[in-house]
Amino acid sequence: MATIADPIRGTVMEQSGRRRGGPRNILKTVFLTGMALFYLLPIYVVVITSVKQIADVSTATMWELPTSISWGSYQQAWDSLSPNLAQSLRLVVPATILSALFGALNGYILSKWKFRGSDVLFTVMLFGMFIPYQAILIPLIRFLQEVGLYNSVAGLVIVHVVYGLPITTLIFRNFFTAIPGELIEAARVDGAGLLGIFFRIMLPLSVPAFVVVGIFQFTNIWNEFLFGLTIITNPAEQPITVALNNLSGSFSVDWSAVMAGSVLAALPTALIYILLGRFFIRGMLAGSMKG
Amino acid sequence: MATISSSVPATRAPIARRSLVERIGVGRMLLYPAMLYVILVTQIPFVLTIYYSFRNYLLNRPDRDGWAGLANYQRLWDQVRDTDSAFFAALINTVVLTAGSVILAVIVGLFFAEIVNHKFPGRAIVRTLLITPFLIMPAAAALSWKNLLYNPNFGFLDWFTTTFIPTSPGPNWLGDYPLISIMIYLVWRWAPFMMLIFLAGMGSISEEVREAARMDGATAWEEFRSITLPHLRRFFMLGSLLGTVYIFQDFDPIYLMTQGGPGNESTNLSFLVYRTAVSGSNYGLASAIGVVTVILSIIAVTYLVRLLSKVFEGELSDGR
Amino acid sequence: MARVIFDGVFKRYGNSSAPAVTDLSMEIHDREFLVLVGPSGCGKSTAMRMIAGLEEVSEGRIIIGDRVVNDLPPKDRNVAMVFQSYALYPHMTVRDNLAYPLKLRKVQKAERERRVLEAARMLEIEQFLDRKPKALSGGQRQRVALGRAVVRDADLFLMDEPLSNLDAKLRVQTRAELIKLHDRVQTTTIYVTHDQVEAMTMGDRIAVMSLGVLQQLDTPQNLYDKPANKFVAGFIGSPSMNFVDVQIEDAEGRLYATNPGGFRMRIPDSRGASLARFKGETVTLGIRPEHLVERNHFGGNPETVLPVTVDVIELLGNESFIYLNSGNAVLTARMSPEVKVERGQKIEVTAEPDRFYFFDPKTDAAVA
Repeated sequence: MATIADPIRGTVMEQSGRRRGGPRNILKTVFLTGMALFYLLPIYVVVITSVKQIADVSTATMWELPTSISWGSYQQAWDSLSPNLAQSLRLVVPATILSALFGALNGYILSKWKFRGSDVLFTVMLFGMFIPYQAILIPLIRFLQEVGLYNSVAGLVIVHVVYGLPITTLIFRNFFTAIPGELIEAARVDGAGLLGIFFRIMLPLSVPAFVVVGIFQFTNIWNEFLFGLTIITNPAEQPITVALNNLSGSFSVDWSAVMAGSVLAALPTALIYILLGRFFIRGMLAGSMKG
Repeated sequence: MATISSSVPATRAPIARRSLVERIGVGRMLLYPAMLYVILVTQIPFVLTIYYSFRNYLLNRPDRDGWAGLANYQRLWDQVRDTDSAFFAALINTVVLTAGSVILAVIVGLFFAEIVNHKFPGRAIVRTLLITPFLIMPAAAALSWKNLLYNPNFGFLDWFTTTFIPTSPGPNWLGDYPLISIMIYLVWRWAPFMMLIFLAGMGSISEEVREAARMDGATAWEEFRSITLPHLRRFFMLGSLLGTVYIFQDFDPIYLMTQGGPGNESTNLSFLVYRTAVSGSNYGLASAIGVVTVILSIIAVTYLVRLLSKVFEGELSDGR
Repeated sequence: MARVIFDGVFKRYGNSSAPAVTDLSMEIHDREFLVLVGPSGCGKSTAMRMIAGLEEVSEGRIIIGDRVVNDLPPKDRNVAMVFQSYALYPHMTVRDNLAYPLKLRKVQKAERERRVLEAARMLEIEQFLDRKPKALSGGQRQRVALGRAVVRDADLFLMDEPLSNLDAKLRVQTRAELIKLHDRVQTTTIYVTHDQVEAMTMGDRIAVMSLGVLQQLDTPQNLYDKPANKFVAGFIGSPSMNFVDVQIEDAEGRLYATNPGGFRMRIPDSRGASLARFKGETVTLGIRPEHLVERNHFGGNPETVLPVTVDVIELLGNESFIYLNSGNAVLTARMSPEVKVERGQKIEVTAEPDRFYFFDPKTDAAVA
C-alpha cells in the first residue's frame, strides 16, 4: 500500500490524502457499513417497533418503517414505568456514591498504608467478585428480613454497596498505586495525617477514578435484575429492569409499548457511555491491567 | 507535641517494644475495624451459604430442618453421573455457553476492532454504531431479542427465513435451539465490549513500530499477526477474563428468554440455583449448587489465566 | 536549628539477613551542611528517611535537638524534606503548595501569606505563584520544592537527591544557589546524593556510606587527602584512583612493590616504615590519576619511577587522559596536554612520595 513520495506531484501529505478516497476504500466502507447495519438490526427493530401503532406490528412488516410515527407507545410506557424509573434512580444514585466513596477509602488504605496482612485482606475482598449473586441470595434475604430492610430500597442500596465494594476497591487501589509514594511522604513531613492526606491530596487527584467507578457502578446497578426481582416483591416498587419484564409478561402484550419502555430504560446508561465512555474505557484498562 | 527527654540511658539495647498504637498510629488503628467490617459483610453471606449447603433446609418442610452433612453434595454427585439430571445439564450448559460465547465474542470483537482501527470514511459512525449493543440495558436487549427477533410467530428471524426460503417454516429459535439462541444473543452483546478493549490495546501500539514493520515490507496481514496480535496479549487476557467471569454467572438472559427451558436445555448453574431455591424451595440444595458454582468459576478463571499466559508467552512473545 | 545524633542505629527490613543500615553513629552539628554519599543501596536514603520518620528505627536512637524522635510521627519532628521527584501536590497552585504545610500547622492566614511571599521572593518564583506544577519547568519545580521547605521554619532540611532530575548545566547552577541559600538561612541540612562531585562541592562535611556502614565522616579535603579505606579512596575523585595489587619485597634494605606481570616500583623511603610489616605480603597500591606525572615533567628529583607503555590517549583540550599499561596492571593518568606522548611509547611515570596510598587487602583499611 505504501507509495513513495513523488517530488513533482507534491508533498507526501497530499498524496496520502488522495489515496484514502480510492475505489478499494469506498468498497470497503460500503461493505463495513453494511455489516455494521446488519449487526444493528436488533436495535433497529426495537426502535421502529416502539414508534409503530399496535396495529402495524406484524410479521410481514416487522422490518419495514412504520407508516406513521406514533409516540403514543412512549406515553403508555412512561405512564406504567415512571414509578419504577424513579425507584431505580432512588436506588442507583446513593448506591453509586456510597460504593465509590468506600471503595476510594479502602483502595487508599490498601495501596498507601499497607499493614501486616493487608494483601491477604485485599485478596479475600477480590474473592467477592467471583461470587455469583445467586449463591448468596438466600442468606442475604434472611439477613435483610431480620433487620427489617427486606422489601425496601434501603436494603437494595446496602446490597449493591456491599457487593460493589470489591470492584470499586480494586479500581481505586490500582489508581492510587500509580500515585507516587513521595507525595504521601511529603504530606506526612508537611504535617498531614492519614485522613488529612486522603481528603486533601488523594481525593482531589482521583477524579478520573471516580468517573470510572461512577460509570461502572451506575451501569451495573441500573441494569441489575436478580436483586431487584428477589429483594423487592411489590411490583410497583421494583426497579425498572424487573418492571420491564413484568410489562412484557402481562396478558395481552403491547409490543410497541414494551419496546418504547426498553428504549426509555436504556437511555440513562447509553447517555452516560456516549458522554463519558472514553474516560471509562481508558480508566478501566489502566485499572485492571495492573491488578 | 510530645517531648521525650534525652536522658534515656545511652545503651545499645534494642528499643523496647512499643505498643500497637504507637507503632502504627491512632489513625491506622481505626482501619482495622473498618476493614474487618468489609470482610464480614462481603464474605459472611457466602460462609452462611456454605453452612446452609450442609443442612436440610426446605422452605415448605420446616419440620425436616437439620444437619444434613454431605447429603446435598451427594445428591449433586449422583446427578453428575446421571446425564438426564438438571444439574448435569446445567453443568454442561454453563461450560458450553461460557466457552462458546467468550471465544466467539473475542473473535468477532477482534475483527471489528481491526477494521475500525484503520482509517476510512465514516469510521466514527461505524464505531459508535458497533458499540450500541453494549449500551442497551441487558434486560431490555434480552426481551427485545426474545420478542422481536426469536418470536416464532412474528419475529424478525422468522420473517427472514419465511421470506427467503419460502418452503421452510421458520425454526422456533428459542424452543428448538435455546442454547444457541442465547449464545448468539450473548455474542452480539459482548463483541462490542471486546472490540472496545482491543481498540484501546491497538491504540497503544506505537506508530513507529508499525512503520518499521511496513518499512521491512510487512503486508497488512503480517503487520496484524506479528505486531498487533502480540501486543494485544494483555488485552486478550483482560477481555476473556471479564467475559468469563460475567457470562459464567449470567442469569438475566436465561430467566428472561427461556426460563431455562424447554426442560433443562438452557438451564445454567446460576439459573438452577435460583430455580431450586425459589420454585423448589430447597435452600439447602440451592446453597450446595451455589458453592459448586463459585468453586467452578474460580477454577475456570485460574485455568484461563494459566492457559492464556502459556499460549501468549510461548508463541507471541512481545519482547517485554 | 538543631543538631542530629545517630546513636547505634540499625535498620532491618523483614527478616532479610543484611541490615540496610548497620550500627550507624554520628553527630551532625547545628547549622552544618552534611552530605550523605554512597552508591545506590548503601543505606544513605534509609538513614535520612529514619530522620524524617518515614522509616522506623529497628535499633538504636535518633536525636534531633534534645529529643529522641524514634517514636514521633513525621509531622511532629519539625523537619522539612525535598524529594527527588519534588513531590509537589499536582492539584494545588505553587502558592497553595507552599502554604499547605503552614495551613497544617495552623499558621494564621496573614502570616501564611507573608511567609509564602518571602520564600517565593528568596527563590525567585514569585511570578509562578498562581501556576500549577504541571506548567513549570524542571528547575522551577525544584525551586518550589525548596520553597516548601524554606517556608516552614523547620529545624532541619532533608534533601534526597534534589538535583538529580535537572540537566547538567542547571545542576551546577542550582548547586551554587543551594549553598548560598544555606549560608543565608543557616538551617542544619542533610543532603543525600550518589554523586561525589556534588558531595565534594557542597558539604561542610561528608559521610561516605557503603553497604549500610558508615565508612568515613570528614571534610571534603580530608576525604580526598586521607581516605580511611579503599572504598572511600575509590569513591572520591574522578576518574577513580588506580589500584594495583603488589607484593612488598625487600632488596638490599630498599622496599619494592612488584607484581607478576612485570610491574616493579621502588617505594619512597618516607613510606618504608609503615610498610615494613607487610614484607613478603600483598598490599593494594593506590595512585590518583591526577598525581601521575611523566618523569621529565616532574618538578623534583624522582625518588622512584614506574616504567609503563602508553595504551590509549584521550585528548580533552584542557587535559588528557592517558591509559597506561605496566605488566598486567592498567593505570589511568590525567595529565596536562603539554605532555606529548604517542600510543605504544614507553615512558616512565612517578608521583610525590606522599601521593602513594597503600591499603591492607584483608581489611581494605589505609596503611598510614
